[in-house]
This record gives sequence, structure tokens and C-alpha cells, in this order.
Amino acid sequence: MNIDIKYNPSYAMALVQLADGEQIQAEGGAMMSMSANVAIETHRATKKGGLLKSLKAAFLGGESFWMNTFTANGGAGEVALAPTLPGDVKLIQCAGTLFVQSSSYLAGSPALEIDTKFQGMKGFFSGESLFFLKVSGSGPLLISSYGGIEEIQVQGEIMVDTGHIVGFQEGLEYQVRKLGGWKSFFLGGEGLVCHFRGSGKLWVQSRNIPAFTKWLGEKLPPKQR
Amino acid sequence: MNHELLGKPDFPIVKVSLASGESMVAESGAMVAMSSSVSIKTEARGGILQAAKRSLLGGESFFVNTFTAGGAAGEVYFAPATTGDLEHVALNNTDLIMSRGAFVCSSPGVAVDSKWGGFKALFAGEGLFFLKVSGSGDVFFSSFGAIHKVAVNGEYIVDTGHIVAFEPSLTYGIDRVGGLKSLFLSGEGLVCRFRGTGTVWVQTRNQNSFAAWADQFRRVERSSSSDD
Repeated sequence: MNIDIKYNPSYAMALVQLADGEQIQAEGGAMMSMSANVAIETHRATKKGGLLKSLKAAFLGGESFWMNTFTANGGAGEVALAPTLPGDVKLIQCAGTLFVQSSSYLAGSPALEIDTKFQGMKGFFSGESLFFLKVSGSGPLLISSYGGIEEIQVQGEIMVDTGHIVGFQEGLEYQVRKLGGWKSFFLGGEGLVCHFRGSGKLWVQSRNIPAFTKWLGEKLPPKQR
Repeated sequence: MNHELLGKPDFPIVKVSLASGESMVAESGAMVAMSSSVSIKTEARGGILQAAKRSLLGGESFFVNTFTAGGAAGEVYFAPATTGDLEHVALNNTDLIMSRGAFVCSSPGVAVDSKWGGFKALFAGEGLFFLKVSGSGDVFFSSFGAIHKVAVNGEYIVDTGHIVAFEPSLTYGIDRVGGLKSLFLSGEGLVCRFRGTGTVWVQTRNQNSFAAWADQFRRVERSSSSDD
């Protein structure tokens, strides 16, 4: 398998070249174009662990319940994959476990196992954006961002605005908290941050989805109920 | 007339330099800046009927603007409405098929008409019509996201929401992707299956998916008719 990221950072796509019989799994709706000899199979997000795990991934993880696996049949073939929002795509060679913010999962090797890690009460105030998909195994993983992606090698501690987290490696401990005092929390516009500790890689995005949707919601005509 | 594409690929704009007497036709709203020697004329090109067909069926504006350099040479800058790329194609008595709304501007020797996509296009989510651009001259069209150019030789599949333009040497059919389960659950909907030899311009973002995503964030307002 050969994966080429093109048109980054603004409108990135992943061009995946599959050898005969090779497969790539992608979130629902990610396929942009493909060779005619590539077959698509639609299945639940988590193949192992049954229905409950998939439901969990869909409702808690905000990820589509259904995923697609693309297979090249009778020769090599290509699949072009793209996310919904403007932004970047990054290829990570997964080895071990990492956590990906639910809407940032674009595609990956079918060998990777996907599960939802429930945030618990510590993520209570931060809403849907703080659910992570737990991705384990070894193989290529494609993550997408709203805005550009910056990789931060954490050694010690760092605080990240919750809306800017794309993913992080398992070695990092994290805790959601408010930044500064209550005045900063309510008036400073920073809201909640994730406090990471330890050593590992962290990926952040240069734009914030909740901030964008709030701005957008004010511009769009309201729905009538 | 010569042109320069600036700011590619993220937020491009095209700078067109016109000699005295030369002109350029553009979608309404596409003009960004121009020299004072350039004059603008707004018209329903090809007559009311033709313009209505193009706007109602082809997703383009009813009125188009013609920019003409008067006594001296002049410059006009054009840009599309979407965040995405701008592509140039030189037609030489050839045709190009575009999806609705993709046309930005062209030299006056190029005609833009709506093209019946056939009943199959009814299901494509792109409306029943494509745009047919023909004649000779320069054409500029835009995309939502980057433009990925694919040289098709044989058969190639494109999600209907990602088609920007294609050469008429290709035949196409609207098809479902995979089995019935994939049709309803894959999130991919219907695809366009191109056959033959020619170029397809594919955009890396899908405005329908983006609009559906953005729609969830609209505020909810109780209608005044509801009892309180």
C-alpha cells in the first residue's frame, strides 16, 4: 500500500494505491473517487466486539456507525479519500495505541482496532468534542483536521484547548480543567483545556470546530420548530 | 488577452489583461477589481429564454457581465465564491461538461449552455443538468476544495458530489457503489462511472456534505404559530 497526501494543508486528500487484494477502511462518505476494480463493503465501525461497540462508537464517538472497506480486486487500484471540512490530512504509522478525536478519523488499515474511550465526568463540560476513538495495532492511519495539523513532541506538561485536539499517543496522561480562574473561564473565551503530562506525540489543529460552528450558527437562518 | 492565475491553489484569483477593445464574460459577482478604462455591460446573454435556462437549470446567474477595455488596455481580476481552486482550460472548437455553478468567466468566443444530463442524473443529487461550455477561447472554472485532475483511460468512479468537469469524450453512467447495503448505509450515495479516454476534474471537498454538516449547527427557533 502506498499513501500520498496531496493538496495539503488546505484541502488535503489521501491518494491510496492498493495492490491486488489490499484493503483500506474509511469513514462513511470519505470516498471521493476510485478505480473501477475497487470494491466497497459497508460494515459496522467496529468489526470486533459486536453491535454494542459500534453503537458506542457512533453515539459517543460521533463517528459514523457505518464504515466502508475498499478492496482492490484483480489488479492494483486507487482510492482517493477526503474529509468533509477544509483542512489537512496526516499519515501516521500506528504502532501501539493512540487516541483520535472522533471526527478526525479519516481512514486506516483494516488491521487497526477501533474502540471508543468514554471520557467520564472529567470531560463533562466540554461536550461532544472530547470523545476519542482508541486506535490500536500496527498499520497506516489517516487523521484529518479542521485547519492545519501541528505535531508536538510532549516532554513534561502542556495545555491544549479542547477544541484543538486531534489526537495523542497512549503514553500521555490527560485531565480536562479550566484555564486560569473562573473569570478567565467565563470571560476569557478559553473555556476548557486538556492538561497533558508525560512523554509522547500530540497532534493539534490550527482551527477550532466548536468555535467555527458557533460563529456559523449565528450567520445561518434559524430552523423553525 | 493574457491571464495570470495568482494565489493557487488555496485562494486563487485570476488577473486578466485586456488589450483595447478586448472583453471577458463573467458570472455576476465574480469581478474583484478592474482598471477604470474597463467598462461593464450586464445582459441576459443569448436572450431571456437562454439565460433563464442557464440559470434555472444550470445553476448559473441569469445575468452575466461583459467587461470591455475601452480606449486603453486594462486589467480585470475575477474570483469564485467558493473556497477552493480555480482552473483554466483553453477551448479550440471543443466542448467541456461542467457541474452546476462551476463556471466563473471566459473569453467571449465561449458559449455556456445547460445540458440535459438525462434521467440518470436525476438521482445524482446534482440536479438534472450539467453545463456545456463550447467554442474557442479561455475558460475559468472553480471547485470547492482543491482540483484533482484524473486522466481516465478505461473506467473510473467519482462520487457525484465531487465532479467539477469532464471532457465529452467520456461517457458516464450514474451507478450505486457496491451492494444495496452500501447504497443506503455507506454514506457514499451514488457515483458517476466514467468510461473512455479523457480528463475528469475532481474536487477534494463536497459542498453537499459540507452543507449537511453545517446545517446541524443552525439555531432552532420556535415558530410563532405554536401555542404558548
